[in-house]
Amino acid sequence: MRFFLIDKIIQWEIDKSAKAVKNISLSEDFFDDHFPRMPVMPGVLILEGMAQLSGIFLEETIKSKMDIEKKALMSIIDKTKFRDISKPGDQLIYSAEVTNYNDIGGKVRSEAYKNDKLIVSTNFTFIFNDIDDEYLKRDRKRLLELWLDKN
Amino acid sequence: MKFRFVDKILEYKVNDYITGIKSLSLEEYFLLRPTGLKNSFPPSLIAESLFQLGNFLIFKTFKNKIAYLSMFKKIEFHNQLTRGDVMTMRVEIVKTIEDSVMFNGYGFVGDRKIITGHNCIGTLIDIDKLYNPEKYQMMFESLYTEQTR
Repeated sequence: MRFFLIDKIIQWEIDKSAKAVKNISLSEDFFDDHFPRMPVMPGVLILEGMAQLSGIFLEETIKSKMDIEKKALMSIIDKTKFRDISKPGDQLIYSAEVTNYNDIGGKVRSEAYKNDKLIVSTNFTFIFNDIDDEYLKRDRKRLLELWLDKN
Repeated sequence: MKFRFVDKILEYKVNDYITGIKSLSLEEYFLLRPTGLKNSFPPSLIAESLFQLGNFLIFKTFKNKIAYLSMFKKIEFHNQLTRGDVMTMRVEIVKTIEDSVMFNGYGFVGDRKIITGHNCIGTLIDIDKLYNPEKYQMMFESLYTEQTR
């Protein structure tokens, strides 16, 4: 497992919102343990996918609006509700909307949908860290280009 | 890859609390990834460690039940967990309402607070829908041995 928990970004409008797809495949490793008799996508990995979209969207928002390049680190997950389980074969759509930010951190409202039905809603708070690692910067840029189909 | 994030169970009291350990090894697959800082445990999996520990307490408290996460009020990540760290975790049952259990959880490395989970709610489900109950019991026993107590 590489810990990339979104497959493709399908909407990307700075100042508005971003959306991404996560297809759930039975071949994913975590289904061995979660659970042996009934494969269910772990709730925290749905949150991780939503946070990956939200974090990179927030980073690109402050880069575009404030001309600063920082890494967003998740610090708080607030008021989270799981309304349905997700299984292999399901396709999830994650959305992210930046609700607030300054030079210290930002907040993002995020939702997950399955067949147009809301299944997870949450609020992330991120704090910003300096990126002093050129390899990390390069890898994140490549990953965003991959998710955005720019390759 | 194993999706198992509790390495030892230290102590538990039925319907009350459980303590356990998650040791972070550089060998673990997610420690080098372009979506995060190098060598830090993803916060979502720190939370999963607490939930999995809580499930062992639920398993010992409610006969043949475990729970899946249905909601939580707030989870705070105070510090990063990095390679070589040993996080001690504690999960406490706050109350039980019909088929749901509310619990709080904490994780520390020494005096350094890593995570706090407030009012997490799990929905109880018969264990045999998810696991072979005997295997789950064996898993519990392998984590809670005389040597770890």
